[in-house]
Amino acid sequence: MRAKISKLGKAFLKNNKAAAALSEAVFNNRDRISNGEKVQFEVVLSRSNKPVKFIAAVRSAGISQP
Amino acid sequence: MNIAIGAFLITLLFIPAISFRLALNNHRQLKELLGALSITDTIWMFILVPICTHLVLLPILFTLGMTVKFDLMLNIIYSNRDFHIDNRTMGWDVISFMGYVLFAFAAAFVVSAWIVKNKRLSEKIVALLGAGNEWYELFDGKYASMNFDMILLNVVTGSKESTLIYTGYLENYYFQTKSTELNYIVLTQVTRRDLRKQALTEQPLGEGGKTTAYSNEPGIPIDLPGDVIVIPAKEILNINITYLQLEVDNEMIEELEG
Repeated sequence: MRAKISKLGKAFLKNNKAAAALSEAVFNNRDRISNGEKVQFEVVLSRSNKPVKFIAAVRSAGISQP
Repeated sequence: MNIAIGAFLITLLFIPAISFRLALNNHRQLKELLGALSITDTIWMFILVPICTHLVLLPILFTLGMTVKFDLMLNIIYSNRDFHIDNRTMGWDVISFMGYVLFAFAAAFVVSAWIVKNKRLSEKIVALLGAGNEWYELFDGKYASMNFDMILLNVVTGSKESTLIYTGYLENYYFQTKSTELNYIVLTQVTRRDLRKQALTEQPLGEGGKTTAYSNEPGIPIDLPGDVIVIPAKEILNINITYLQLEVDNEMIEELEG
């Protein structure tokens, strides 16, 4: 069964650098992420002639107990 | 021959069950879990659907002054020798019967599609069919407190040599055939690291005693080549699931998509 991934998520997964930066941000800030805090991280895309730096934020969507 | 025609006509009457099954294809969980059903299985499983459909539609048609000639069909099914066949009359009767079957099919499909789109009713159907599945609920984020963009998994797997952590984004997951048991998961953008960075051995313990301990820190992540990594469920010891919600500018999405 195909996993639930949003359009933004798919865009991230298409880009190796973005996906790696996100993964690293989650790993390096796992305590903050697990508390639902927003964590900023940078993605440098070099598709155009000069690298473009973007700042994105990620947080855990959390769990509501069933 | 007549038995075949009779069976065909009965199937036509049961056809709303198939339209219900088709509508269930719009439901991710039910589509997967009921995918193995044959047409016969479908008809028997959803036998109440055609009954309810005809129960609703026939009184409406009768109220509107229209009739469906079931006596004609009954005579065909029973191969009644006394039944006089007039092609001209029967032609229209058959056409109107087929029209009714098509109408019942469409009506059942529309109602079923609406039921499937309704979250509360579709959950009732899932519960009624016993198709509840903990893996689907976890990976579809049923218990996530807000919307999410993707799921990051840390999968601990055991092998003879070592215990490894695979970190990657969930792309797909598969159940065993005709079962709700997880068969394997498919991750993308995967890194792998050892569960323990290193073993700390030969610590002195009293008089010449030695002990072995393991570092609490995991090993260094190694990027794995390949687009996706398939991990069989039987290798999995546990899974850490993080539902990630991202915030980025629209221009970044365009840049990412290229």
